[in-house]
Amino acid sequence: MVTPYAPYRDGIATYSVQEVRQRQINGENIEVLSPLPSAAHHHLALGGLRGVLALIKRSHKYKKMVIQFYPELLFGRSRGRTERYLTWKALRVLCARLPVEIRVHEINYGLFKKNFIERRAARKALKSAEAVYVHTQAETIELTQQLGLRAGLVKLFTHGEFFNQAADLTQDQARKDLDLPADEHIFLCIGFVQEHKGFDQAVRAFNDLNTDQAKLYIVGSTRVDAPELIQYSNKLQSLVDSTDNCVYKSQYVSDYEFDAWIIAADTVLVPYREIWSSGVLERAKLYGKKVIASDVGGLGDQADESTALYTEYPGLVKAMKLCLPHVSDQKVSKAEATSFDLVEAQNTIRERAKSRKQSQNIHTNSKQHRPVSDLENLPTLKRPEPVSPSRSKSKIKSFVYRLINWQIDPVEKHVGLLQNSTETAVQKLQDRIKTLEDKS
Amino acid sequence: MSSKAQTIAFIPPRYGKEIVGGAEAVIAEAAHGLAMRGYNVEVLTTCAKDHYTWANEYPAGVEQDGKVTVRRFPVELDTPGIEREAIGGKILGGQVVPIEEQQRWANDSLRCSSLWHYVSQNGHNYRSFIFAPYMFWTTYAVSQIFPRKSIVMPCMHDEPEAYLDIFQPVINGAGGIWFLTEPEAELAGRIFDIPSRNSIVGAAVDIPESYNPESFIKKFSIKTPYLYYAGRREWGKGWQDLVEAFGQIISENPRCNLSLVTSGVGDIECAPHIRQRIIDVGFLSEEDRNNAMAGALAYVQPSARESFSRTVLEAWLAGTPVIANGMSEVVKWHVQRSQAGFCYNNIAEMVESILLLTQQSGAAAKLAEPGRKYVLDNYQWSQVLDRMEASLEQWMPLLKLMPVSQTAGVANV
Repeated sequence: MVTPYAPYRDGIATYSVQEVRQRQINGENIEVLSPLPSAAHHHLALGGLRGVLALIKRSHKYKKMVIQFYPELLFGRSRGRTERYLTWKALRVLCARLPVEIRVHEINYGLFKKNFIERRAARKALKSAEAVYVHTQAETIELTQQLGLRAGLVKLFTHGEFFNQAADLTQDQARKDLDLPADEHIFLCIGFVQEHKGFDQAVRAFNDLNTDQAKLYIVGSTRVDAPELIQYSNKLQSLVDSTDNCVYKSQYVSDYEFDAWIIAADTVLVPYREIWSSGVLERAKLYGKKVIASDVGGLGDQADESTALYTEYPGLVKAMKLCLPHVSDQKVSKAEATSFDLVEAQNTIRERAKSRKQSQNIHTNSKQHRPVSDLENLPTLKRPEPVSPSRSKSKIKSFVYRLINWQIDPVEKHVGLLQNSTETAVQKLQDRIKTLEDKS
Repeated sequence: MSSKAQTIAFIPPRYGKEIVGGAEAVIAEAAHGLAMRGYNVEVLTTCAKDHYTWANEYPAGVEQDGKVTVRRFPVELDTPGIEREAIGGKILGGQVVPIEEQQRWANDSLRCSSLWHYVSQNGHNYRSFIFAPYMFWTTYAVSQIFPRKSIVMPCMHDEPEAYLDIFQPVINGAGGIWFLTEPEAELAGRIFDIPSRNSIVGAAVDIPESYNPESFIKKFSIKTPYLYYAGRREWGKGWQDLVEAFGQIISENPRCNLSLVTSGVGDIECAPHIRQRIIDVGFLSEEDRNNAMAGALAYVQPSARESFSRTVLEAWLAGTPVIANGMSEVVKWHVQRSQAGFCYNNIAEMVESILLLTQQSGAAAKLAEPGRKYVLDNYQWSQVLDRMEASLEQWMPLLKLMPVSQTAGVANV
């Protein structure tokens, strides 16, 4: 089996681990080859023509090969047209050498639209495979149509076929383990944080629910340090910060914790903007959880009776509302709550803030003064992200952000430089003082 | 079926009588101790002996070590380690390293896919797995196959690697954590969201019936008072600091007839006039090591990265004072509690600590006096095994008997 593999953490690796385990337990003799060193039996730098040629070289050792296909596995992150074309050709040669089962998790149709020659090469490669599997009916139709494959070549393979429960907990135990409220409705978005997963839409929808008897948890982390991912994560954090009862747990969790979160939740949200199929949805089904999912890609086919599908944003809000039986009562109570004495509340807040400040000062003064630590603890000046739970406010903020960017940007950079230089200067000064003290 | 009949497995990266390492020694003692108490104990480990080369030196397969069954699996040695070095440099430099790079770092060293797959297929036949130390692939990768069955003994120090995201699920998601000391538990509490199923089980040292320092002195022809260091002679263990301090002492005090005796593994690189005063006695038997401890003027622990420091306790047991690196929270904690040694914060302080013991007759014996009682009161195996047993029974549910069709065939190894 050619696949990313544990201990790497991604959906396809987790998927393959479960399949390999079950097949080995069933007595099949499977060896795993992964693109990076891992727990797989072999590893090989795939991602390009050379990678597939190396697979061809090894093909005589095996009776059959299963490729857990997604574009990056065979083509790498940035390959030119010619190499992609030759890689498809090589894949076809590989398929001629031994029976190859291609399990398609993702494919980039955009490239085929731009490049007829590559489309033809891909079609021929897939045609020569022993079997091509996808996880949903929608994908079957799309792959067949887009590549002009004969009907019946692309088959269905249930996404959760080999899925096992990683955690054996009750909801109460899971909530206790994760330190979550015992009696509130919990909505959950979980997985690596990427814009196409639409977790921001879930936050907006939760804000529109206007409820204080539910919580939304977003659990996940950015897998790589790509600027666009960091930026999205920051944006999501700002959005969460300005939304009551919403928590962003920027965490890298184990399979066990992942499942524990699903068990702890009442409703799992899959608000993806685009996706082929979803492992999260399958894992939620495994535990019989209510799911609200966008009707994109193959999610509609994955959905069962416990999944509510929506096509447009208002549908998400509506589906979430339906999960809360007393939402109308809550709205009333919230409206009533707005009539309390604002001035008094503001005074209470100020008083509390004052005492907090004092206790911090005492705490600092009681310790040896450490200017470098203080400086290090000073957060870097960063402009707030121009986001708001309300779309119209977001637009206005974005407009203002862009409007004053030319003035604010140099100031922000300059302050950053000043902060760094100050830290360095104080550190040097401290080192010198220490040297002098040691000498004396 | 009795709860003890269900197999528990220890999973260290290396295992064997010749292995030098505190965590490995604790694992071996705990495995044998629990086996003696009636548990069905296995050790699942690699064929490696050397933690630098990870070369497969032991044969793969099953062997019996007393009551403990040892299953060895070959290590994969197929990466050049270039990524590990490059990313490791960033980690040590305090840079923020993305998760993908952290994963590459962890996988570009010792890996053992056959061990991983063995546990993946056969894990349901085991009641619990016990892993140590946290930083090795065997813990990082294998403990996450059945996290709820995994007890991790982190053996953690305050080091940059401990702060990596990839270790968060290893610790936070474990079925239980066994700490060796309170400072280690406190450190882990600062870095991780440690599960409630955690216990300071501690570790212990064997108590020799008697010591015979003269036999050691005679055997290795040692003619002068000596400082003793046992363990790996490597940068991470502070060995170079010890050599530097020792060099200063003999350079500045020509009349000082002190030697430095060392056992264990690692090169000794220093100026010839210092080298001739360093006596490398190689790998010692337990008896010789105990005698070496008893005969020393002082035992030096120069490592800042200790999670338990077994040798320090062995020195106290032998009536020898300890001169230790105060940067190690754990050793400092031991010294403060026992009052049987000096802690230094820089090389000058190490030099002065050693000189004080050489210059004041009887100072060493007086300093060492409370050490033995401290060890006997706190670090005996019976107490440690009681704590381990209690947490195993409390945290690890008994296996449900599986139908035959769902159980995997147990592999040859």
